[in-house]
Amino acid sequence: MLAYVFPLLFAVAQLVLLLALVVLCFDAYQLYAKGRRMIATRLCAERFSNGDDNIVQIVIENHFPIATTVRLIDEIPFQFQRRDINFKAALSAHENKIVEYMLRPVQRGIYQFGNIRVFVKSHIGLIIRRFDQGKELKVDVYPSYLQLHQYELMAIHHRLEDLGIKKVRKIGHNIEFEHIREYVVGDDFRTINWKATARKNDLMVNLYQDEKSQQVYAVIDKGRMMKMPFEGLSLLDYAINSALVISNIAIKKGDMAGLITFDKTFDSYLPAGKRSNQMHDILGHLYNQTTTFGESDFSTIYVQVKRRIRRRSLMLLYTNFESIHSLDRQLPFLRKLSQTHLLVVIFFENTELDSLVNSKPENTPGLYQKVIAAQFAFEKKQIVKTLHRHGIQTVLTRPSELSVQVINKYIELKARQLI
Amino acid sequence: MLKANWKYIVFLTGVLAMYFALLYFMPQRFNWFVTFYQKDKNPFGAYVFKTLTDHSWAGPVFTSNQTLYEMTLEDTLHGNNILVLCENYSSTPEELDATFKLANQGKTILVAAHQMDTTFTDSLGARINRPSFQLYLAQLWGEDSVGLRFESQQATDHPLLWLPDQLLPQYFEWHDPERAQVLATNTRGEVVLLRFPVGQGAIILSSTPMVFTNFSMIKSHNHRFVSELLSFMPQGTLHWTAYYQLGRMEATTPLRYILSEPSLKWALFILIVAVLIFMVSEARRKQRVIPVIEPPKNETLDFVKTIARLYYYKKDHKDLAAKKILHITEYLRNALQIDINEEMNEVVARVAAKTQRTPQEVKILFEQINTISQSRQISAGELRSLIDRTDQIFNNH
Repeated sequence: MLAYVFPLLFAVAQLVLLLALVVLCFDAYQLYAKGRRMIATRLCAERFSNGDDNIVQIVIENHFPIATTVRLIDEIPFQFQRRDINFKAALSAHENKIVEYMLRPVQRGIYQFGNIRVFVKSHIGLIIRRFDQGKELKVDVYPSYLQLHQYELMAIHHRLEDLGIKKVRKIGHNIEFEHIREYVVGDDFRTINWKATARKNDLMVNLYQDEKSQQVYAVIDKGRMMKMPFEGLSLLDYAINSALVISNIAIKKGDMAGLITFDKTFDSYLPAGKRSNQMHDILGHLYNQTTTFGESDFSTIYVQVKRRIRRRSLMLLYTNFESIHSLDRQLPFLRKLSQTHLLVVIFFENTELDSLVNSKPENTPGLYQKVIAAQFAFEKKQIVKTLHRHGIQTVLTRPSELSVQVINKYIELKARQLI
Repeated sequence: MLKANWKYIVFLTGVLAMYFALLYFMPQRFNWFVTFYQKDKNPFGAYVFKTLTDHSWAGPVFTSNQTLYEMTLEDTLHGNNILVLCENYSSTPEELDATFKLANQGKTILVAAHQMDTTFTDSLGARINRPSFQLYLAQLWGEDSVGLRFESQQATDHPLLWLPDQLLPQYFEWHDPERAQVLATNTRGEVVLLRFPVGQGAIILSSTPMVFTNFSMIKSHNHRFVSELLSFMPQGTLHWTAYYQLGRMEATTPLRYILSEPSLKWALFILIVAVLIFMVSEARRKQRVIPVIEPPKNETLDFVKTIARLYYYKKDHKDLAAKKILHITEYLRNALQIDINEEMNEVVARVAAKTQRTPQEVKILFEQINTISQSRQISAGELRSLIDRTDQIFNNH
């Protein structure tokens, strides 16, 4: 363009254009010469854990003898709805690099990864070469097995307190003898085994263990009220994740874990057990849970439980009540159920209302919203009271704290020997 | 995607193919536009006239799209005869000067037009009557009612040319018989062809340009009139300009200039090539489609707001205050373990201690609660005051 004003520049511009074409050809040679390629491989678990951050790694191998700049797009499953899996990396000649990112699924099921698109350019940067790498990969998203392992490890190492599990003072003595060990300061004097002390010439105490082989059932309501999502995850999936964790803890503690799910009909039933593959069965059952989120029928659960489970068991019922009226409809069945089993009704605080309850309204409609929101929260507490009045244990928890609260309750009930 | 839509693609391609075939095989419609263009074979083009001049004109015939002004700028002008055929002849002052300049140089300029601007005709002392020209196709096939005859013919002689009246409506009025020579009149006795000697040359005005069209030329012996007319121009070359009817037969966009300048042309082509390469390379999808899925929505807030609105429409502030008071007492009982049924001062002292507020503040709140409880109705201001005071005392606790 300048050559129009300064005609002398025309020849210079043509020369520059020629030079640019030469550089372009050189850049093309650098990128497309034989044997020059970029390899990207995706490394991730075969199964993803629902509701948790799952790590995905991409290994990039630079087979270019020159330094390159790489832009990498991983075609992650569409369910994540993320369009930001887009990384840039500078690689020197023949260098390998690992790119890491996290994926948090909120639905169980099969997820499909696509290709890894790698866009390579040299330091000249006039041409970008594209490589389609990686393979299409199917990944199953299972109920949160990461949480399961986390709590399992903590339980093994007796460090559940770190996760918010309370130590519960035990009431009275357990009667099941476990073994004899040396006395340490703090042991109950009454547990001293005098015969063993005399034999060893050192103070020895008896150790008792909690009662074992008690049945613990996770009863999951798959009805309409469990559809409500918090942080993308539905209450049903929170319940499924928690059921998995508590079943595992129960089995590790020597109890038997089972599973019941229902909505408008009695849906699935896995008898309590503590066989080595019981957890595998529970995981399989929980993975396959589907629902139409219809209206739940609590009468059917009462009838089926009465028919199938004769032995007094701990029933952890995951459901949700938004108002005292919705509880009133189901209360007769819950009361009946609690007569033969130790029933714990687990339902959820509505954390979405927190913003409204803690708001500082500037007008009268805002005041109404604040008080009505508080009324909803108030009704949840009334539900707890009503259930307590009928001898039914409750856990009212924020969805994110569900597993911790349920484990707390389980440990508390065991300690109080209510089961 | 392509597989799923192949039926529609075939259907649309078929329809388009049929449409183009229909257009191709349909009989072509006549173009009735008046163009006076040398290459136009339509009724009002001048293809026949051009062919005639090519064969019968003694000298060479040039065609161009130059203005008369441009002709004066040329060192060697092709032809000593200039022919202008158009519907409306208008000239700028420069062109007027150029016309007279050319005539003074010895050129003969024949201007045939339905309308001529008055500056031009006034300078010659003539004027075109009935300046408007309307073409009614339906009447073209009527009787040829107007004839033209040259002044050199006897009044009783049969006119050389006949055409429908609507094609020859104009005629000249002139008031200086000494300045101009009448060359032809129509059968109504009106002057249609005038010759003005100017300097060494002449300007010939014709108010009947339609006589040069194909429509007229192929009719009967009309071509004899045109041949006769051309004989008023001296022998030599004939320069026929189509500018005054068709304008310049070239692109009128700024691109014409850009393409005529090498540096700008290079810049333009480099830009186009660069844009094309960019479009082709960047238009390719960089990753597979991610369909948009609406995540499940927690509608609790909307629900609560709707319920709150329903309460608000009732404007029962007292009812809302009662709910708030219930929440307060519940909070005192469960969170602070204080029974409000105890003696008032005791309760106030305990609440103040637990909330780290002054007893006076707590007492005011309790008095307000009492007042509201005993009222039948309260105002929005009282409701706000209760809620604000409660938040003040309990929220930081």
